Amino acid sequence: MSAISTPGQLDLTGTPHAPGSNYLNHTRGFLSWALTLDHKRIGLMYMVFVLSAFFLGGIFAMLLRTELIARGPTLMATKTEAWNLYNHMFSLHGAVMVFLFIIPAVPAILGNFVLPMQLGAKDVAFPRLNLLSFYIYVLGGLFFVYVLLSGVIYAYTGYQMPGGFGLDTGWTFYTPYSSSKSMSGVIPATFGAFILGFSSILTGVNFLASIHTLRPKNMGWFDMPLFLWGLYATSVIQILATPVLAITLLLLIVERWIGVGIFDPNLGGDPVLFQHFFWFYSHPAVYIMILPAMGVISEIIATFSRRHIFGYTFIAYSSLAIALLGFLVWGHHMFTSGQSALANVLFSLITFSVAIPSAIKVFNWVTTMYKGSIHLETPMLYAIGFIWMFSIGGLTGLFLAALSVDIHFQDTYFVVAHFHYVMVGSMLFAFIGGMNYWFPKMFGKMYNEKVAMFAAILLFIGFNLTFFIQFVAGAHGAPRRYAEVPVQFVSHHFWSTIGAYVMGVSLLIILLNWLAALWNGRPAPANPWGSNTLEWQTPSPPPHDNFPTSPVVTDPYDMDRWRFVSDEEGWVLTDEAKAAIAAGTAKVGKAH
Amino acid sequence: MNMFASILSQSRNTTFWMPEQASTVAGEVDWLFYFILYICYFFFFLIVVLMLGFVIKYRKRPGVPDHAAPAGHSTALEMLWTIPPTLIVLFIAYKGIRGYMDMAVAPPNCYEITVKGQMWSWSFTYPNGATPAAPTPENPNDVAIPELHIWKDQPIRLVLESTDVIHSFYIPAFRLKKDAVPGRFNKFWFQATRASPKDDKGNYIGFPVYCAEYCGTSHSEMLAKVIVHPTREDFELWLADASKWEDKMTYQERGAQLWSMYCRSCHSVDGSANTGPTWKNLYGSKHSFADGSGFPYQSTEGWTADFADENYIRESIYYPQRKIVAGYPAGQMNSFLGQLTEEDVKAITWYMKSISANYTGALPSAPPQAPGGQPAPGEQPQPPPPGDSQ
Repeated sequence: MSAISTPGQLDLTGTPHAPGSNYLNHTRGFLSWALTLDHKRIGLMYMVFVLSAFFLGGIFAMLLRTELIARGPTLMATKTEAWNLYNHMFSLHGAVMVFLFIIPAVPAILGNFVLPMQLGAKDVAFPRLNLLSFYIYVLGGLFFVYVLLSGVIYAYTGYQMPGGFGLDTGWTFYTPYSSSKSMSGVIPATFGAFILGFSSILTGVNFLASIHTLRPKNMGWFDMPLFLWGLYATSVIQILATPVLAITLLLLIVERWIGVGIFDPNLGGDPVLFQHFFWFYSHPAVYIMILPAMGVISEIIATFSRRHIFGYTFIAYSSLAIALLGFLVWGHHMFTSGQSALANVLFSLITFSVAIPSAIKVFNWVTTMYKGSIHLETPMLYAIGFIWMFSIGGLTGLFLAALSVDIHFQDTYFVVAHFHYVMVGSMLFAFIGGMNYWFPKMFGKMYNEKVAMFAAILLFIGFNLTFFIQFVAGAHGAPRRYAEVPVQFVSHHFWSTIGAYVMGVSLLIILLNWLAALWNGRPAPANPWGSNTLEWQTPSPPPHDNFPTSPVVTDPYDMDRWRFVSDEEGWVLTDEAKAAIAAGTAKVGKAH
Repeated sequence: MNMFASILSQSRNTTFWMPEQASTVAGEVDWLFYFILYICYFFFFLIVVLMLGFVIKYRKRPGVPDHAAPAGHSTALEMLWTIPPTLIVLFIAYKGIRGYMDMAVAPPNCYEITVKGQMWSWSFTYPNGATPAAPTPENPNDVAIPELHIWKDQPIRLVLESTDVIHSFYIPAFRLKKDAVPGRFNKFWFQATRASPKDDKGNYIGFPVYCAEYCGTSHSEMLAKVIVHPTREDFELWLADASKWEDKMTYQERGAQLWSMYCRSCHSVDGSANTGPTWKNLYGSKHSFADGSGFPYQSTEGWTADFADENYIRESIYYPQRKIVAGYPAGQMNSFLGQLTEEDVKAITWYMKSISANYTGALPSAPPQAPGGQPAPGEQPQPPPPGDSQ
């Protein structure tokens, strides 16, 4: 046993059930979780809350799609009641999904769990800040629970809780409806979003500091896994854009509360100013949602193609380009608002520029698969689904960036379909793909592969059934946020609702499959997929300090260092790789 | 280019992707739509065929060792998928901006109509000052759908205003949309290229108009129609007739119209809850007030109401803060003094009677003969005036 070759001694086929503690069991009791500073445990706590929010948002989606399955009131007796229910459902669906699920999902769950390990570190740079941002997230979420409860209480008893009942403004909170007309809980909801913003900012700061300071000595910027590039670009947006949202929402609260008149035209304000402020955050927020998802996809495509990622530097720089250009395009949400023709022209031009880095990423992923050795396991199915969805979501953005065509499409179902293809089709597929990818590492258990693949295919079918038809309806002029279905769009909405039910069923299968794996899944090897990033070079689940011995940094996409051992159903370092570690010649930068 | 456009857009009527074209800009918008669509088809099928092709060709086969090619990088390839797409999107951007400038710059000889949006109806004021009523729907439970009348081949300029929240005036057949923003006038113009077709009964089938900016409970019922007359003469005949709409409706019809224009954002007529009390069964009811009192109600004006009667309703419209119905917050409703005439109030009262089970008398069956001439209930029905086809 030589002193320098410690990583080589690790039994990388994994001995998860060998005596010895891992991060899940090394301390016990409620407080050992509630007060933990371990990034892995914080990631799992986020997972419980973020998935709960996703479940709630999904229930809202099912209710609003059910209301749209036919003309007239479906879920309630009278039109007014049915319309109000629908309006509350689509508002809560949007707000809960955006603020409590899509924005935190990949960074807070997968990022928290994986980022320190991909850096070969024991934790993030500021573990206490990390725990604080989790509790701020929970606090912000409580405001939305309050909004939901106030709506339910009003519906059943007629009692109005302070601040209003439910939420019927849309997640966009447009003034002056939100500031002076709506009777719903605009103040609690926006204050909740305001608080959630701090959670987002603190996570961003933490990730930036971690990537800057915790990289091992021999891991240069361009030796990082691309997931870290995605998280880095995301964090930059989070800390630059979120404060603008915070100020905007505070102004809205003050406006509604005491009528200061910043947005109210009766007091000399400008309601369109709110839209500018709101979208200055919320358009970059779209990239907060998609950039970490793209990072996940880069990891999965390379790993399951057994091939070095193609065009590493182009993918890395395109993340930064998207992050920066994303700040300059917010005005494309206001082409019909009456903003000047010059502003419309400029925002249209800049919007097209985002298409290029997005295209670069897609082509690089596809080229990575060229002459690969493609293993069609569940995460790879999601990655393929992602490329399908993101191609549709991205290409349909061209229609909306084209000024004259967008005048027709603005606020129609074409827009709804477009952003669901990006924010749900793409982001959700990357998230579930990433969850399936890192699940064995998180819990040391393998899920049932066949069930997982079946659910992935069913989700893909359900999603496309739900949303593709919305492009057709939207192109014909179906306006969004309509509780009553216009006669000519009845069949579009019917099939869309059926698709939503298929999605709901497949998501339940996915959840149950994970729960079944926790219950009696077979033990996971250390490296079930043969990836070369550092988190796979420690047992599953990892010990409390992540690595029993410091891992040796090599090129993150040097797949040739691993070979599959069927007895172990996992991947182990090749003899050459072990020898290189022992000889001290394992290096980064070998492949590009 | 035009021939290319007509091939791409297949026909002048509805296609799989696009609604009918009825304005001068629609053809240009559709040309660009189809151009982008074919670009999208090309790149989507390129990506998917390559991806699925690679999945099939390079899939891992059982028993065969991994065979991946070594790491790849090609600046030439990166340029290949950077530069041509950039040129394509620049061309799309240029065409989009050109099309938009055609929409944005109105010709000098426009006929101007003011469009007012309010929760949840549209009203149109023509240069003669008239704001015609929406036709009464055949089914009384349906919401009246107002009509914007114009004529073919005439540039029309709409000046949009809103009295409450942001709305958006959207005519899919014209490919046009503009927000009605409170506190500012937004303007846009168009020129219809097709006259509205007529149904079997000879009534115009209008082009649908939607409110496209979410505006509260009945956003999805804030609809309208654009009726394109074939000639200006036809339009002027309609306008002269429609400008005198008050004279042609019974009181309750006029009341329903006024409710749709001014009251329905807060008062339902189907019994459901809203900002204000529902009007269903309101007339003749004996509700209690927020201050604990109830009917009979002694007004400071000297009259006494035993139940919600004509006097009480008139006072509630003109002085809404004097008595607040129990369970509703004070300060929500503004006075309509100066906005609704005494005739309007009378019409609203008759409308309330018509939807109240507490009123069992007869309703006016014909329009009042002259302003102020309220026909007594039970009066002989009068033949409708000639030309009243509503």
